[in-house]
Amino acid sequence: MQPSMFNVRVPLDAEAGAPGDVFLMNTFTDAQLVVSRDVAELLDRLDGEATANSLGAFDRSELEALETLADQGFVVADRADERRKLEAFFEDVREDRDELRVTVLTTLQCNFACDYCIQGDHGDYNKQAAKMSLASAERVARWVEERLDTVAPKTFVLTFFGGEPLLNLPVVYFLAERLWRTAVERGVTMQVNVITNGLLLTPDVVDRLLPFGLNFVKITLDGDRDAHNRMRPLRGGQGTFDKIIHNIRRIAGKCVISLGGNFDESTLASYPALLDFLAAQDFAPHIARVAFKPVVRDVITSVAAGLDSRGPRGLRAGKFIDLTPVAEGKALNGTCMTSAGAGGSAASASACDGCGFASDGMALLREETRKRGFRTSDGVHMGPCEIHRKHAHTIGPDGDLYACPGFTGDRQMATGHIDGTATPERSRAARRFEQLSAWKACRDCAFIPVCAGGCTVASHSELGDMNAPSCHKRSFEAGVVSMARDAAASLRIEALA
Amino acid sequence: MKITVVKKAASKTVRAACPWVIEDWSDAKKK
Repeated sequence: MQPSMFNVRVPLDAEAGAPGDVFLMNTFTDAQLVVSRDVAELLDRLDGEATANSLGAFDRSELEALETLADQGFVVADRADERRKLEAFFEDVREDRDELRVTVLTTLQCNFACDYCIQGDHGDYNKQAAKMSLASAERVARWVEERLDTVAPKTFVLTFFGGEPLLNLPVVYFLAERLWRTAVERGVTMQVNVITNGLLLTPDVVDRLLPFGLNFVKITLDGDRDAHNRMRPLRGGQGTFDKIIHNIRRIAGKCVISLGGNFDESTLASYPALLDFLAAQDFAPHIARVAFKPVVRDVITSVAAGLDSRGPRGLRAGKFIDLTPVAEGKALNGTCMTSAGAGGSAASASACDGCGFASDGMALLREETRKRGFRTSDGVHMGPCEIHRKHAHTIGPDGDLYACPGFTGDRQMATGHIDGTATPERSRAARRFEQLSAWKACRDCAFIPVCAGGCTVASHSELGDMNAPSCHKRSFEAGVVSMARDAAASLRIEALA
Repeated sequence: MKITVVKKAASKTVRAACPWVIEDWSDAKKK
């Protein structure tokens, strides 16, 4: 009997209204407790004693506490058993058939000319960028139908992405309508998601998709009006902020709206002003979620354009914020709390000091977002992402299959094709993705069940090794602190009621 | 020895599809 390796704890203070108490979370079972300090100390004692045969060392109240802690997953039989359960968890995630998830890139063309993105309306990019034909969409539909029959999921999630997916509305409409009929015939619940820059997102588009399972639209705003217009202009430099806001106002109330944004050093400070602006709008109550992330260099866009994503760093460095992958030879800056790092004391921060800007920025913006009353990510339930699922697929405009949108366009990373043709390269790539387990290098990190080793695209492009972890532990830690405050607040409210 | 359960252990919890790009809004409701 010993404490779970997935326990995380946050001491609560007077500000949280529970001085002396401790918030405990287990990232594997998702259980959350607020306990008195002696319970936390009991866990520590368990950690320090060979207690498998020494339960006599505990009094009755301690034994009762241990039983509750074990029921919620905070105490486990032994580490080997817990690791077996973790392996089984990832196997379950991989084989899960409840959902079939398909992301279709209707085109790699884009009507924006974002400076940080080499996709889009730069030079002759759009002339050469692939666009799905209706004939290809027909083949995509047949492929999805075959998968629905084979997998027999409860839910089918169809996500349109790009490029700018709404530049190819005929394919969007065709696939949504055709596959809706398919899903209904099979008794499968279907959800349609659209990830768009928002410029072409009119009420007509929403109305057309609503009968076919439109679940949410995700729109990107890169900071306040000035920052956004600088970051996400049209080719001629015209701003796009006002038009997008106009469109959001017109579709508000029709469907779930989520807002995203990509921040870098030059725009982070403008996000509170964006949030103030959004909170003051008449459509604010209709925004379901707001979540911001750092610009992830040009990783995703460069592979989408078919460039060598592992080219010399100097070509891509500069204005982009790196994710910070963790690998051998990169000793986590000597500050890691886990055995994966090079050491450092438990008091010294986390594995990801090197990416402090990104992690801290995400944590800061989560807090700012919540302050304005918008729902956002809790910063903890971040994975395992769909790259770890066998029944999640991304389809490029030409019908190539990928494990995740981040690899689209880098044909060496295609795992197959909707026409079923197998090549040695595709088979090799498919095997590599099937064996993904970057988290194994994270050893005893408590966040493995909700992180799985981080973003595979970042690891692949920055390290040339998709099985190396990329770590944002600091952001996870900040997320747990917020959850602890929320838990304490909810208990205070309950006590007052 | 005070233990208050804020959230019980769950066999299956909501996981993000992709925290960077797609995310999972399966629990989001239209407002």
